[in-house]
Amino acid sequence: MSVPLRRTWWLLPVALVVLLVYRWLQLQGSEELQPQVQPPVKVETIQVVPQTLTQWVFAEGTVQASRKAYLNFESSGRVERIARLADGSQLREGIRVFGPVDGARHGQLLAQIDSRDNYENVQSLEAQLQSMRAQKREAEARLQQAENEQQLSDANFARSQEVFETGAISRKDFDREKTSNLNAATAVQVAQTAVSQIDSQIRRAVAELNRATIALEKTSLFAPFDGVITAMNIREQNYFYPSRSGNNDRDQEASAAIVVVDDASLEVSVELDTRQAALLQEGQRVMLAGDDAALYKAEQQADFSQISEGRVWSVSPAINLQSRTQRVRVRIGDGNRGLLEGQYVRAWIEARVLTDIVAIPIHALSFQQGQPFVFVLNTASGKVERRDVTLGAAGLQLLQVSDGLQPGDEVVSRGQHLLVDGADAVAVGG
Amino acid sequence: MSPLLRKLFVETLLARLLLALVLVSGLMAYTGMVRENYPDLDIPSAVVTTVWPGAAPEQIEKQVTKYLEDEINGLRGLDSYSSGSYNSYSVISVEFDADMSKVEAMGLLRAAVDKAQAKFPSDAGIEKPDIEEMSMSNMPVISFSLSGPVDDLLLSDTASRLQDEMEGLPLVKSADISGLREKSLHVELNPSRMHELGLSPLLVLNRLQAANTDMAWGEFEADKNTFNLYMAGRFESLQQVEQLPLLRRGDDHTVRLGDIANVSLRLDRETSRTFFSMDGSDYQPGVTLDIKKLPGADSFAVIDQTLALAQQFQQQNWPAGLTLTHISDDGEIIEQSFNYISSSMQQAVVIVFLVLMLLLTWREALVAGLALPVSILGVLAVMAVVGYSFNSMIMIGLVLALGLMVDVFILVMEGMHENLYVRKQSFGEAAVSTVKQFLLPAVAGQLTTILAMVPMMMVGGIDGKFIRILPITIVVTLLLSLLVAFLICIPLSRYVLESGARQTPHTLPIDRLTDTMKTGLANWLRRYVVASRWYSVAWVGLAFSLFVAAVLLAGLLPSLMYLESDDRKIGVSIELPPDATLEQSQQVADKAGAFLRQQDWIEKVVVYVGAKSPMTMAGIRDALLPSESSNLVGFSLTLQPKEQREMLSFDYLPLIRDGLDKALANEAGLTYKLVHIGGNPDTSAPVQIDLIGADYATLIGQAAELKRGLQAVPGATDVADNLGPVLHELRFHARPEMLSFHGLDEAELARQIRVAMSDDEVGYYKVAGIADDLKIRLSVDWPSRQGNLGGPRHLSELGMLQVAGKSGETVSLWQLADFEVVDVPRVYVHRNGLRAVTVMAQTDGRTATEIVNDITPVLQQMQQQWPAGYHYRLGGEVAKSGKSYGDMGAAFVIAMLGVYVLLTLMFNSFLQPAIILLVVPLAMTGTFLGYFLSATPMTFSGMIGIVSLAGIAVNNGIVLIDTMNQHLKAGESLHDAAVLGASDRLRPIISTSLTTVLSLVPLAISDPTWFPLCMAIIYGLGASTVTAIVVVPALFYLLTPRKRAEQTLVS
Repeated sequence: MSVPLRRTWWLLPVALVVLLVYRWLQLQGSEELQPQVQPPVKVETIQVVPQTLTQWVFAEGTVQASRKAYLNFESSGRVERIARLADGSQLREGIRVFGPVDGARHGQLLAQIDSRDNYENVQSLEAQLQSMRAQKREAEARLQQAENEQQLSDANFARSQEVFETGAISRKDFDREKTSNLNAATAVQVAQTAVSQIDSQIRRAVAELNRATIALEKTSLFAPFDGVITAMNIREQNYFYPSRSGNNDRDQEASAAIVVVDDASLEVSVELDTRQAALLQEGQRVMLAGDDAALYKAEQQADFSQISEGRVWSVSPAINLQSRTQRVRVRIGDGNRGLLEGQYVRAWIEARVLTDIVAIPIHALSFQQGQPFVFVLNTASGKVERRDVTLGAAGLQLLQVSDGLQPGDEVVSRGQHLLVDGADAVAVGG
Repeated sequence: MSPLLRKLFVETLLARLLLALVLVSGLMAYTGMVRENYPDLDIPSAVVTTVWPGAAPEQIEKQVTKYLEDEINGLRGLDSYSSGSYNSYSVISVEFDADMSKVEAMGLLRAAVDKAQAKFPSDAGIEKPDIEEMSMSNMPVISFSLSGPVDDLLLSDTASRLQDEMEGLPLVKSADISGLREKSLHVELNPSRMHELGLSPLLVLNRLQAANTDMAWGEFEADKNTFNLYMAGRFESLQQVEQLPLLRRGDDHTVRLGDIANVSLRLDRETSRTFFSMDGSDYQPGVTLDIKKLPGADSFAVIDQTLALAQQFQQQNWPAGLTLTHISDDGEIIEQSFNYISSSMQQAVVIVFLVLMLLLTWREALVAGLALPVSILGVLAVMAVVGYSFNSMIMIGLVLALGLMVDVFILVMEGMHENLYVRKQSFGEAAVSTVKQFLLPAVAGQLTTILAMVPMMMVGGIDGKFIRILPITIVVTLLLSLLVAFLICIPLSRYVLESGARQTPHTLPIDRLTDTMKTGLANWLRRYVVASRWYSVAWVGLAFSLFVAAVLLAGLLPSLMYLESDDRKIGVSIELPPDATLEQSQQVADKAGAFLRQQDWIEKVVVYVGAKSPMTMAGIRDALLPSESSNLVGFSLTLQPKEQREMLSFDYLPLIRDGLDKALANEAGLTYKLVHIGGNPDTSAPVQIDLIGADYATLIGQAAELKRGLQAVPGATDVADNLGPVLHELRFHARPEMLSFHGLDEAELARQIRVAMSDDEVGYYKVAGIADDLKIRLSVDWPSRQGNLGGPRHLSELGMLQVAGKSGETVSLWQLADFEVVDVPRVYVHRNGLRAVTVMAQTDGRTATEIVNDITPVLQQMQQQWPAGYHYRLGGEVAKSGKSYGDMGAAFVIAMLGVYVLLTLMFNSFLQPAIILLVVPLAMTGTFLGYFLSATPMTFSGMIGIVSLAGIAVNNGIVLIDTMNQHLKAGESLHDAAVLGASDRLRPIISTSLTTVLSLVPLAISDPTWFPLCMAIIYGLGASTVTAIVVVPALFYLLTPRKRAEQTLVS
């Protein structure tokens, strides 16, 4: 073993040197490292297409009928009777009543209070009237009599005068004749005055009679128009006292004897901030429902068939001093689907419907110091471009972009937090 | 001979006693010591959290974080601190020097926090700051999952109870629940009804709070006894809450809470979900409980305790249908890693034993071989007494020291052999003369090695603390081996050797071989090395030029702190766009989860939807980031044990990335991050660059640019920053005139809006027993939620928001406030008190240093365009390694100086120690060349190896010079002394180097982290053996002054 060792020990260092050189060359080769290519950022995009966007103004108010009558008896008294229906049940809340028909003076009778007083009053006045009429006839007769007498007197006087002028009667007789002629004329005047006095008494009596008749009529309540009874605050055999409570709708409703409402035409009155009222015009469509959830769901499904619909009826041009708002009235005609009078509803007013506009969902927007911008992907070059945009109307889920985008642009809707202007990106998913 | 010497070295009583002591204490230590994979470093660090509900990040930054930071800044022993100011809370992570006492550090921190607290704005509702001590690794040691087809409320109840019980265990720091939905009493106001009746939500709030009180009313003293008066007002049933009157309208109409709100006992809004899958099974939803242990506690103890508790829990009143599954625990992982290293150690012992059998007679080999485990047990006993846990670092230290230990035993045994068989002394005489001959050289040899190791303990920082156990173990081993060799081996070898003394010694085969080699070497040296001065000079010159070449080549080596090592845990973190919903995250989780489930090299998967996986939150800096958010998805992967896989764990990382890319090809806007802990005790990202400046908008822009630059650098992956994407904030500006018109003030407006937008708790709802009372939450039922809990979903829904004015009218929000959309940073981050953004990256295929070198020119170019006051700072591994390498270098120099001084004393000369020390660079030549050829990067463990190598290689030199001196003393010529000194000691040198090298081989093969350390020593020792035999004689021949040589000749 020792012999080969001595001879071949030169091999070891040689081998070492060879290995070193080899390794060094290897190292040189591997130093050419390519700069890492960053894979393109994966993003989701939406293509901008012309859209329809509804800008809603939200409001709320109470539903009122456009015609609402708070019926009260003018005087106090015991409620004699409440009218009954064909089946014998009393009129009550929810029953439909009809108003004056074909030029008739009154509509359906609803209730009456104790009218015996009034009735007797009328009777007595009628009797008075009749007696006055009789008195008038009497007075007229006397007038006639006086006129007749006057005629006679006139004739006599004329003859007397002729005779006097011939000297057949004395002056004394002539004066007597003259005086009786004058008396006759005066008697006619007296009789005329008496007649006119009776006349005016009669007119007065007629007027009183009319008044009493009206009062009699007012012990009954009649439906002023076609509608439905919404409140009946009286009971048979109970006393009714008219009250002088406030003009507030609520108080009136609470104190009126019967409230009849024409629900064929309902109205909602809402108060809006000036900036929102500026967007409104008469005739705009309004969606109404008891709460926002139903409206929200309908908007999402684009199906408003279950929702009551109305139109903007009026927009007040002045700002209400009490609440610093402008009043907008909405009328609901046929579009009522289940709204009740007195219900507090949420109203979504279709302030603007913009068609054929560019609109994007809000999650595609980014902001830098208040300036909104989006990234648009150029599928040909694989790069994104940052575009500053100007926002317009805001819908429930989309925002109008009035400047900065064109239909056909691919807007990045997810992943924009990883992008900068000019970065590589590729669209995925969806 | 003196009685003392007899007692110590000849009689066996003391030896037997010592042996018994060592064995018993060693075994006790072995069984009783806490077992861990890596030492729990107990670095003082903490997280300070302060909550101020409703405050904006800027407010938090200026009025909470700033004061805290001012106080923390001046703390003694502070290393660094970072903070994040979020909406409603502030988080500050504080790290102290690794060597500071934890108790002291925490005390200082508490004092600082208290001082700062005094400066917070008073009456703002700021809660007391909470200080949580952190350990280096914040990962759970054991996880459970509760699942089953049961009622949600029942699941959440059981989970809460279990959590309470677990947290009550002494060693458990916290039991974190994920996927749990708390149950509360929800009062959801119907906005339409509220407006209709003109009610303000604050009225409801006040009524709820006023009615829900119990109050003690004092005492009622009767004649004979006293009664306490107590008003029981708190809600006890749902009906009671619903019937709460709010306001009266007329005599017959009272508005009650049930009329305007939906009152129900239900689960809170879902914020996160968890699922798990074992061995590829379908994902089971459930509530996950992650148990974290206190720093310093024994993992196995915690695991056993929690398992026992779980068992006990399940036997009492356990709801049917509910299953508690134990998903993962560290015990198995620790046990396996432990076993790997301990098997390496055992293999090393066996190898050394075998080598001993070759080198010595079987009797001596037996004694020497048995001495090894005895010493090991002794070392364990000492370490246990000092308070260390039984961790892999101790075992690695033992393996390193094995080769060194064995040298002493070989020395001693050979000495005994020589004296007993060759000189035919009696046992007692042989013992004593062995001691006299070899005690000093043995001690000297060990001392030089010890001196080389000691400065390594000086290395500071986390890494220093991490490896400190190594030199300590080695030092203890070396000292103990001396003890065992002289006090136990020698006396007790009587039993084995005495009988053999009667036999005639036969030459071992190895002796014949070494004889041949000796003569061969001697001849060769005479011919080629020592023949003339010029030859010697040539050889020396060659050796040193080789050294220079090696150093130059070493400069080409890549360097990093720690090599990746196999780790069964991998964490995956996926982040969706910031506005993503839980459902979208679920979709992503499903796709990614399907891919992961199919991988047969993954054993367990735990999925977190809406939260981060705890495995990705292991570091202290991660505590600053929010861990729960609907756009987060996390996976905790536990891989199969190493034997059942084809590749090492870190080799699977690119596979995972590719797989995720494919599975999530259709998902937009995702970023993901993989976390693999491996061998690095510091779990933060290796590449970290801090950008420091005053304005966040600028910093964000700079960070974005830097991120793009980093992404182009090869090897950099998972580039991210700690700021996250900006948030879009709707900033409202109240119109004061309108507010006063309606009789409102800003605070009232804010409170009303807050009720509408969130679901704050307004009180507690009594429940029977000691369970926590349920919270009462007040919120508004938004139409876009269609009955589910939550706030508005669309911007225009804010148009539906109405505020109740003073006199009951409802006012639209648009009348009272204007708004704009602004982009704000989600968090205001500070680094050491200054506003900063940190850009981070992981490495794949290249080292952090290389990546940083590539990006530095880019950074410098960028910096030129930055406004004044903005600068960058490198952190992460590059900063740390600079420091650590620097410390190691200093340690090395000090070690060499110490050794030099010792040798000077030993050899009584200045020259010869210098010659000995010159062996060290020759050894390093081997290391560098070896690294270069095998493409091993320079790592921290490699540095440890080099420093250890210095201590080991020096021994060869000592032996050679010593023998040469002896030959000189004996009268040989310088020529011969040099040659014979080398050839005489060929055999011991080869045998000691061989044992050291072979003992390191099993460790090198089994664990890639320690591969550089072992290979450094193997290459170096191999090279030093070869070169020392050539160069030392040459140097000795060249440098020994003629006078001395002649002196000896003459005398």
